[in-house]
Amino acid sequence: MIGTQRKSKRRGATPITEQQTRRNPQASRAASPARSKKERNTLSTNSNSLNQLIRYHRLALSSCIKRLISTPMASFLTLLVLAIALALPAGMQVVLNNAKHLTGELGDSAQISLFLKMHTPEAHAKRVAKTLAERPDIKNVDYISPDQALAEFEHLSGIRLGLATLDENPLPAVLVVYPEASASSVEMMQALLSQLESRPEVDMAQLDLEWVQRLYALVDLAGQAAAVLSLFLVVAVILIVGNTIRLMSQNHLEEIRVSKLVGATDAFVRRPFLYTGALLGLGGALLACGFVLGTSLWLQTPLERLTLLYQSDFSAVTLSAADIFILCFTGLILGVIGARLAVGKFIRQFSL
Amino acid sequence: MIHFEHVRKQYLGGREALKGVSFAMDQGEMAFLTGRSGAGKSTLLKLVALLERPTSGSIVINNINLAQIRRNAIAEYRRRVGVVFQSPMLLYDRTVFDNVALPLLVSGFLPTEIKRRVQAALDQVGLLDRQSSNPVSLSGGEQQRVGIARAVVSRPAILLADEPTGNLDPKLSEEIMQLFERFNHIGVTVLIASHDIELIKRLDYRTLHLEDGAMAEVVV
Repeated sequence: MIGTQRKSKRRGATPITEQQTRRNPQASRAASPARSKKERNTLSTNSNSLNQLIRYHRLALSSCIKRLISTPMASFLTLLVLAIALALPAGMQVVLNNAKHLTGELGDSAQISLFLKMHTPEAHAKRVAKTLAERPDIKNVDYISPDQALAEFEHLSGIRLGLATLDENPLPAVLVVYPEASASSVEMMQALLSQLESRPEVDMAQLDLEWVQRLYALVDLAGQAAAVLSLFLVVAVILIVGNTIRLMSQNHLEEIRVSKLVGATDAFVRRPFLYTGALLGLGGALLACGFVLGTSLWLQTPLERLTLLYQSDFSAVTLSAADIFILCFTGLILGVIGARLAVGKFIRQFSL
Repeated sequence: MIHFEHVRKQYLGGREALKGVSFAMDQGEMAFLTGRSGAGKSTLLKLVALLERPTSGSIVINNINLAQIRRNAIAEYRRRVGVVFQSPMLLYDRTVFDNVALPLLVSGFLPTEIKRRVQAALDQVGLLDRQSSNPVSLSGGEQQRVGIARAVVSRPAILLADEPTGNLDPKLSEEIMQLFERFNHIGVTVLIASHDIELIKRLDYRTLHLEDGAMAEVVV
């Protein structure tokens, strides 16, 4: 063996066999205890494998950052494209969340209006209201007298009818029934409605739910459309990162070739590219968060003004910390996948 | 150290670069590999460095049969074999120091150890004062010396050189050869492919002659 015979002449020259045993020090140490001291020396110069791994990764990260900085404009544009691709599904999610939030609020506020027959005595109507309110599926019943109804109509419409122009108040008394939240499902509301309608003193019962149902269906549809679109954009992000990495690797052909000649593993060559993909994905996601947050901040005031018109105390939701985390994580993973796909094929052409 | 037995290499497309080559080199030996262009010199060196696989036959390097080295272990094998090319294959986006450091970075050495070894290697080829220059600013001979420093920085047991003096004038060639001799004196097995007959004649080493893919040993 060269290592033992020529040691005096050639300090530190490690033959191939020792390099091979280093990968499995436990086994070789057991096989030849005499060699263990030399092995420790080798190990100490190379430190332990965890430190070595950290060193590899630090090297990959710094070389990746160097590569990104060496083409600042291209890197920035890629980042911008990724940010837009990621901001679209994130923005849609925010809109959907708001729509669900809003429809949920509207669903809770479902109510049944019972228009009583004309000339139902007020005392009787109030008695009915009281009995109805005792039902377990009804939270509360309001009695609106014909006079109140007329006053409210005049107030809301701005038209002053005045009793003078009419012989008598044309409006019936109304019982507004608020169901319990637990009974607010569409089917239960329908059942309640038909029960109330069959009461003798009720002329007509009206459930303001149909449009809520339609809104639910619409939001559901929008949600599914958003999911499909998100899938496309996920593929787009992978392709964008993949293409960027492919172009970048073309600029480093020589470096990859020489590295492989002097003994770089596939993983060593791949690592900086994976970091580049991860950084692009993460950067794109952060930028996308900025876009979405900025847009929702910008829209907040007009939105609040709008909801005020609907007499709702609805407050808009935007990206939560968890959403931001998920978006960043998704961006990072997609970046790595894109880079891995692009560089996998590429490295093989340099291998035996 | 190097042991070829009936090694054949046929490239895709049918060209047969080596037609059953057998030879052996002792450990610590230095030899020249001669032959015309296309005789198979580069192919032979590539087989030793595991840049190519033989079509048939066995190659044993330092008691390891190369056929047993799997794809994912090739990188580690290459770290133990230094290769110098006709063109120095340097990276011009980094300094001389970083070029020489590449094999050590790839092997995961500590930065302090890298610095020590790179400076030692550059000292041996006489370029320590140029360590922070860009290789572009170096002459052809100096660039080739950087290539040699890179080949020896990981202290390989085998040093291969493919026409290392091909682009250099006789005086520079002489210097390069002296460098190889110096590494041979400290125990490295050196195999140099060259067609610089004048130089080979002056240096008295074993000469392996390849002719049309077959080996014929010549004693000069």
